[in-house]
Amino acid sequence: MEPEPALSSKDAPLGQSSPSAQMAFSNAVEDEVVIQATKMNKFYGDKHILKDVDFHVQKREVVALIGPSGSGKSTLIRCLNGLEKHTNGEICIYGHTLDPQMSVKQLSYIRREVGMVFQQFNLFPHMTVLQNIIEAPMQVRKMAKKHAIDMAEVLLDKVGLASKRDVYPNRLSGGQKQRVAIARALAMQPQALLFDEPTSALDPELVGEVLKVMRDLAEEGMTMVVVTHEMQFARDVSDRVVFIADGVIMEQGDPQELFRRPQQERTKLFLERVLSTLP
Amino acid sequence: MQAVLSALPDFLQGTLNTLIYCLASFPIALGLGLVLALMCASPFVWLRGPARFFIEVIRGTPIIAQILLLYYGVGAVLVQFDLSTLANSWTAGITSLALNYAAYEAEVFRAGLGSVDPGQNEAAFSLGMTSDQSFVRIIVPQAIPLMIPPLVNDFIYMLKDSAVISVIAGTDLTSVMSIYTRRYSSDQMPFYMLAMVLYFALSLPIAQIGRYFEKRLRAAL
Repeated sequence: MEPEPALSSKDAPLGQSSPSAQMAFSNAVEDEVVIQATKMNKFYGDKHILKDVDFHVQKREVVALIGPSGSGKSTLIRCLNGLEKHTNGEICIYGHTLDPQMSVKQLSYIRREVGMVFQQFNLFPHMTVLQNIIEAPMQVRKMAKKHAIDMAEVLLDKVGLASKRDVYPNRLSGGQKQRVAIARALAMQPQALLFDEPTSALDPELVGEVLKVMRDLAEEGMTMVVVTHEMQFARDVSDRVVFIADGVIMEQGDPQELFRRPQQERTKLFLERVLSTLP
Repeated sequence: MQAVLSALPDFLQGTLNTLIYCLASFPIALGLGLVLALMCASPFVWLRGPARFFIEVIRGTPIIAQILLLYYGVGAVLVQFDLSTLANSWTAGITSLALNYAAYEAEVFRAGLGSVDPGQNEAAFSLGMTSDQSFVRIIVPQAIPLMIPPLVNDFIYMLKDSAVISVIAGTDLTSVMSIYTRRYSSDQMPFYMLAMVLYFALSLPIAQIGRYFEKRLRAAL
């Protein structure tokens, strides 16, 4: 995992201090690449979804993936935990090489390290909030039930839902569901979390509570890759923004920098459309 | 009226036998149906092919032909092998009901398991669970409430379909009925009606029980 990823020349150097106070989190980023995709391609039939993507994440880094819908952002992070099989190229996750031929059983070892939070939450509807959280630690990590429950209670406290522990998911609001989903992913004690548009299915007034939890995680130094349409989150919380269009990483760099002075025409057009609403 | 009253014990015995036929056949049909459904979902054609073939043949031929084939055809083979004690209307009836309904239950399982949101599997996999763990802990518990109404329906169909056992002179309700309608050939109507009332008395509570369980299991979904 030592070699530096091949960064294209337009990349802003990481961790370089920016004059913004909001860049405080990036100080924590460590100079160690933990997730790396090299020359990755993904085809659906003969549709070319991801084109020679080089993507990496460093330890404790928060990376925001932005771009128009259908650009391949979600496909990219779904390839990173093997939910989608990349067609060719290399993916390396915490020292494990992720091969498209791997069985679910083999992928399990990678997925324990990299949790995922979905747009549609995907909570288990037949289990209570607590059961949702302790299921995987008990089944996969073979954790003792008592220990799992203790841990779940700490996590529920952390996402502000301690009072909902014995409730079924259909009694929760979207924002609460997503916070349970985050607690469920954290219960596996992953090294990194992937977020696939975590707030896109939420009513606008519920977005804040989920972003708050994510912001707390970022501050604690969790390694995160976030596909998002929340530009304010991307700008204020992430250490690096990656702009994808038509399956190509067009541009990436320091969020303040990229939002203020996008280098590519595509980025400019996209940002003009989505930033008009930002304060 | 006197004749009907005196026939009542025999009819009740026939009703009980019908219930026994079905209670013996349905669990076999469920088990075999699950195996067939899993075979159909297999990536291997040598598992998928035979299962599909069995299902299509069973669904594409009349149950009355199947039961006659089993009783006379397989029965003759059993006699050849000195297993004539196995060749009776009980075994033929239960076997044919079980095989027939296995094909239908396989379709119920396939549809039920298929209608669970694929996001559930993705969530389980993302947490590191294996296919087996996800199937047993996540998918099946969500599929069961969806499958209860069609399964209860099929059980009620089976209660009525078991009447075909009468063609091999069984002991079920319709067999009893035909004995009496032959004996009282000038006044058959009361016996037909008595049989129908008894079939109805069997199926109505089963439908109620099914609705109750469906409601309870669905509450969380």
